[in-house]
Amino acid sequence: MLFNSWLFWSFFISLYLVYLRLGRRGQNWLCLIGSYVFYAAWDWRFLGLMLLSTVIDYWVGRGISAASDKAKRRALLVCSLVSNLGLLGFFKYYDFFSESLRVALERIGVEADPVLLHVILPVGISFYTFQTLSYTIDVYRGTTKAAKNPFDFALYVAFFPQLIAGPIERSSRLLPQIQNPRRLTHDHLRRGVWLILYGMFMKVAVADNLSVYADGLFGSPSPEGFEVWVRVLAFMFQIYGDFAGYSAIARGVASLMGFSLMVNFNAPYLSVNPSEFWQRWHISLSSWLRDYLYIPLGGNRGGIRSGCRNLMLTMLLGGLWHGAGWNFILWGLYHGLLLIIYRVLGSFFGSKRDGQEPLRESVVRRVVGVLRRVCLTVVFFVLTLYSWLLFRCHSLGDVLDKTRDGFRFGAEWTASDQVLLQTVLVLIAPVVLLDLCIHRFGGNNFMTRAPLLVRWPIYALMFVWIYLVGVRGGAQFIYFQF
Amino acid sequence: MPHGQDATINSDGTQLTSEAELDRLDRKVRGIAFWRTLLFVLGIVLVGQWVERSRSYSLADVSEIKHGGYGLSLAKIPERQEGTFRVLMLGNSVYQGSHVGRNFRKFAEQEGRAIEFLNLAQTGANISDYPLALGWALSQDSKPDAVIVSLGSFTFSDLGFLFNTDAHQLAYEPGVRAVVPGSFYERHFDRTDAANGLINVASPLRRLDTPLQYEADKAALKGLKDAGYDASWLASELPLPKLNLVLNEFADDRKRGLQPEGAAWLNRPFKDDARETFEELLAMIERSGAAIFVIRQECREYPISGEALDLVTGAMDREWGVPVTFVDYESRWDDELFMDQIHPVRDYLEGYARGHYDEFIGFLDRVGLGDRIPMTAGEQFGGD
Repeated sequence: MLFNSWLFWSFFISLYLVYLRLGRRGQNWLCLIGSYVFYAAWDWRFLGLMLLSTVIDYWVGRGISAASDKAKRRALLVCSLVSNLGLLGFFKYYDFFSESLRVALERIGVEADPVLLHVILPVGISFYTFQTLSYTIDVYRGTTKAAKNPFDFALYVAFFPQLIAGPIERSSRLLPQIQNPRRLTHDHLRRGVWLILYGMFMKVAVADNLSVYADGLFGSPSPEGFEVWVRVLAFMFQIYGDFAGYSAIARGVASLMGFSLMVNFNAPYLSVNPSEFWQRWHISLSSWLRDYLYIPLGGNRGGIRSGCRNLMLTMLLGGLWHGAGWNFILWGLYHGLLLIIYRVLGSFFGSKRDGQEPLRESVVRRVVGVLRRVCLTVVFFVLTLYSWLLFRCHSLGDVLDKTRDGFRFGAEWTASDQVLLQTVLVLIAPVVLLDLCIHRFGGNNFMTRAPLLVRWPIYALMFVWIYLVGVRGGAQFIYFQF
Repeated sequence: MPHGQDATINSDGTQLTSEAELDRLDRKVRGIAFWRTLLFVLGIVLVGQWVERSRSYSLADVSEIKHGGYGLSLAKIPERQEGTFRVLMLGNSVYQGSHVGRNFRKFAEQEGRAIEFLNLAQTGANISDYPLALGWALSQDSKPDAVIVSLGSFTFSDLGFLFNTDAHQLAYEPGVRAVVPGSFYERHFDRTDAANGLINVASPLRRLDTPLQYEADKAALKGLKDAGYDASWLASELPLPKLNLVLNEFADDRKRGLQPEGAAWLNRPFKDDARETFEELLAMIERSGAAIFVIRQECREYPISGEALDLVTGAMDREWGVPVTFVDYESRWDDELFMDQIHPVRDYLEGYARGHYDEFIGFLDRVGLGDRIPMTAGEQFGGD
């Protein structure tokens, strides 16, 4: 049941009409049943996995909460970590590591034939596993109270708008919304409508249109020179439109029901440095990695060397989270390297003012500040562009080939190259415009604060654009594979 | 406490103070959301029904290829007239929109044969759509004497996702369910198909989306051109519906940097249950007592699926025991006559239909039905 399908909207509207007529407990029950139906629509067999994860973490949460003995609390936490990461490791990484081991052994002359399971990756497993893990860790740390009602907790794990591809919610945010009375306001409705429209626009009008150009990176004859980078640019905005679109629709749907999900994207391509980028791109994952991996590893407390090591390890695992493939590992390492370079050369790249308004000292300083920001944005944009080449490639060989092809600038600039560039620019122009508005007016919800006479014409324009150029057929969201 | 800061803010910006006020606001907003959502749904349903009715056409007059909006479920089979020979035609866009039925009727009239051709072909129809279209006609007591089953390049390939025929809607007709075997339903209607079918029944907008988008794009392009900007370069680049799948797919392949040989057409998955479905279809025709005439629509190997070509040009006869008639246009193939490699061009419509018509009449003679066709003085019957 894809967000960009009639089936999903028929499901949601049917559920929503009943939802609006129920009290809070009834709403929670309806959402829970609806969430299981939503998940079972992908593959009902994997519903058991999610239920298993739910039961274990509920039980662990209650156990930690009741235990006074530190050792017992720790043992319960380990139980949760092992079971959740075990499930994730088995379904997502077993084949990858087995095959990698076989290749490595073969290189040193040892013949091995490990059993490959060829299991299908249960959709959304990376997302709900991280969500439940954050719950047990928070209960262990004492920052969240263990849920008493198992069905409230089950809804926290399975809440359908964000179940398949996030945002990865924290228990401290989502659980209270499930447990406490919710009141629907005009603002919820306004925000919901806007986010759904924005998300659909990003998905069907931008991402799905760009996908054919991004796919051309691996076309035949192989593109060379500038064409490589135009196609990577197409992928850069395809993946952004795809994932940010999904997150926005998830937040919009939740908002219509009176929930508030966390912002997952905040104009990431306007970042001036890698640190800012990770505060703007897939925020729910990057903040998860920060809170549950980077900081527990020691963060930047042990000096520059250990800080860099922790950064690299965090980004490596962040890359691996996206999928069992060397390209994802390389992508993580590349971003880790950028973060380390930024940290080491921090004084050259700029201070903490980068993400803020320029100082109001003089017109000249303000202009210089803006120009500096623009220049840094462009530089970092180019560095990010290359990271998407790593992400899109299938193997290390691909990375080397495409990088080499990208720097073969001898080919003649043809009319079809011109049309390719024009088309990609036309498709990404509205995204850049929207991102500038998000950046300037403070977040994704900026449009809901606009006057009616501004808001509705823009909605109409976006709707018309979606209708005219939107790709039909319910194309899959890229992040479902993670 | 309610969640979210905005819960304590009134719509006019004033602060709400008491729980009672907050509850009142919650009830009010929920009521507004409920009625607006309901109105929205009703709008989608009504607009869908209206659009389908406004776009549907009578079986007696099809002059162009119609995508999605065939409206078969809205049409009525005319009552069987005494002294006629009734023929049902199953097929895809070639039979639907290339004047095949219309020309058949013309030839029969010219020859004084009282044959009533009812054209049930639908654009994009594949083998899974045939039993439903036939079931719909049989459920209306159509009593055919013969059924023409025309097989196209993609009849046995899994292309249902690219087209939205009336099939899903027809599947819900009680009469159709009574005629089409349960095994067919079990294989073809999983939960998703069943749900999508229900959505199509409620609002045909889902099914009509592609042709409507096509028309909207055309109108927008014309508007822009009238205003002084020619955006056709962009329209040709974007994967917008062209209503010609071959061109559509080839264009997308070109953008992906693939050669036409790599086009998805050649590698379309062949339906696993193609033979089972085909045999169910033949059994339905047999049960109705009608004669079965299977004919291949002409198409070159390129871009037809090799597997499908093999099947309709020999393997079906050899392996399935079903004779397939083949009008040999191959040896005198002319690209000018089949510009998109599938559909005959306008000037060739009559010539194209002639070959098929002659084969059909020849078949009726061979099976001893030729003599049963009443002769007339040129009355008109049915149509496509």
